[in-house]
Amino acid sequence: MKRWAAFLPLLPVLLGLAVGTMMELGWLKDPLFIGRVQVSTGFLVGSLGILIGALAFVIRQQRTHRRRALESALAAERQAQAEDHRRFLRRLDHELKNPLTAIQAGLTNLAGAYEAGKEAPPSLANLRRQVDRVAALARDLRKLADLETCEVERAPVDLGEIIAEAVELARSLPGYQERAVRVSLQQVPWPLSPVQGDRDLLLLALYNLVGNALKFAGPGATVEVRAGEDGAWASIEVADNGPGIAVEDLPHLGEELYRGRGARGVEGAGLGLALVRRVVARLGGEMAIRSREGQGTVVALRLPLGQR
Amino acid sequence: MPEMRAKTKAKILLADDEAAITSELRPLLARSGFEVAIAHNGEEALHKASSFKPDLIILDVLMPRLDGREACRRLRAAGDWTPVLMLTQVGSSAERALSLEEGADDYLNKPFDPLELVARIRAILRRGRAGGQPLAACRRLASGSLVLDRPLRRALLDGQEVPLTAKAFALLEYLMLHPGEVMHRERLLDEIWGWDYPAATRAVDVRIAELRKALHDDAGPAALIETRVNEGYCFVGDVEGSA
Repeated sequence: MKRWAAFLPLLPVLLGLAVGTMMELGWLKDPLFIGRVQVSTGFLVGSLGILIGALAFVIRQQRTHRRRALESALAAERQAQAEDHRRFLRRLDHELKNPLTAIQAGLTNLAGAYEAGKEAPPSLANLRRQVDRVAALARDLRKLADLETCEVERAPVDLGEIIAEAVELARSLPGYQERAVRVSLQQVPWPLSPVQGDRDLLLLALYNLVGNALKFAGPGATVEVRAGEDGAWASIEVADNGPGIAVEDLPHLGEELYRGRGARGVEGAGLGLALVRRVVARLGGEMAIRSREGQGTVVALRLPLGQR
Repeated sequence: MPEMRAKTKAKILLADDEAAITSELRPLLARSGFEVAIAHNGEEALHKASSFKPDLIILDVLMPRLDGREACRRLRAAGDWTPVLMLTQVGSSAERALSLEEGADDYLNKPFDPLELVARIRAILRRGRAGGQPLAACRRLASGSLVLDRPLRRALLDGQEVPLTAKAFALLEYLMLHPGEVMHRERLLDEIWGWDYPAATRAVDVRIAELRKALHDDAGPAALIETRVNEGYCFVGDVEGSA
């Protein structure tokens, strides 16, 4: 159905050509007799052509209509899923809030009871650290959910400046001071235009990407940040030649708390890329990840450019 | 930590429906030198507010019978301006506008470090005011020639409008609502940006620089916003609020 429907609009032309040729060769007479009715061959062929053309038009309309209906249903479904997800995160946060508040206060009381005389057992300090960790996770999950609804500024942002800042921030993290990050920005034929977005959110996203690259690629790897223009879009790539990401992990990157096989034994909760994905979506852009195991990873962002 | 210099202990009314929380916070606040009373819902909080006469009320937002917001609103409507610390987050600008209506003095989001709660209580008590409106409920904040019109989100300097981004305005507003308190960058990020991540504190510095420039506060000794090395920022001007 799909194949021949595409040829339908051509059919009247082919039909006209074939009938014309047949009449030239004398294979077809004019006028024709259908039963006892005499019809002009040209008229018959013309009407047939119009009929087929109209049919082709109707079929095409229906197909586009159906495709659009399907697409909007899918988009609505995705939206509903995102909404569900957000509600779930909020409920989870809400359910964790009170017990965590009570536990934190209780542990402070316990520590206070020891302050007077003897030293507190090491378990107490350990417990506090673990509770702080859960509290931080709950807070981060809530902030991720808030990112969907927070105010987003729309102002021109200089990408070069913000990339330099993100790199500097990521390199200031403990253990990364000695690591080199190459930055290359489009200069020719014109320098990169500013993007339209929220400076702070953009910095947060880029800082996370560069930090991720340094973290997962390991000490010997090279990390490169490239930025250029692609029509009305700015394209920013954060690339590394680290161990890469397994194919089966790729589709799940950007899900909250997802940690690929390569992330085992590396510090973190699996929220960085989820955050980047949301920020980029809020700024009207896209994120894509390409990776080859054993060769490295490229995270590519597309962001709308501001007016030149 | 126990600090009992004052001859009379400050009285705190804690309203939360979770017994696990009140039973842990009560001894904690007591050890910090406060006299504590507990309420389990908004209605009880209103009753105890008039009988216990607290110096400060801690209200959880979600409570049975009467929630914290409504309890606070009724308190204010009845002309009671006892300082209120609300246990929730005001992140978005819509919530901030709402908080202006309800008239709480400060907000703290659960879960919190209990020592942060004590620090906030002390800061509010220190701020003190003679029975007047808290700054948080004032529509206009003024410090010298600087005036903030909170509902309109406008800043005026010597009667001239100062162009500020929404973020910078929110930052200035928050600093002016807590005059004399040193604000750590992490807290400012958490309260105004809605996120705080290690090393993202630079975002605060950028906005402070924007503010100082816009307020002509960037030359010579800081007159309005002071930088405290290794600590954060502090609004050092006197702030007066008016309805």
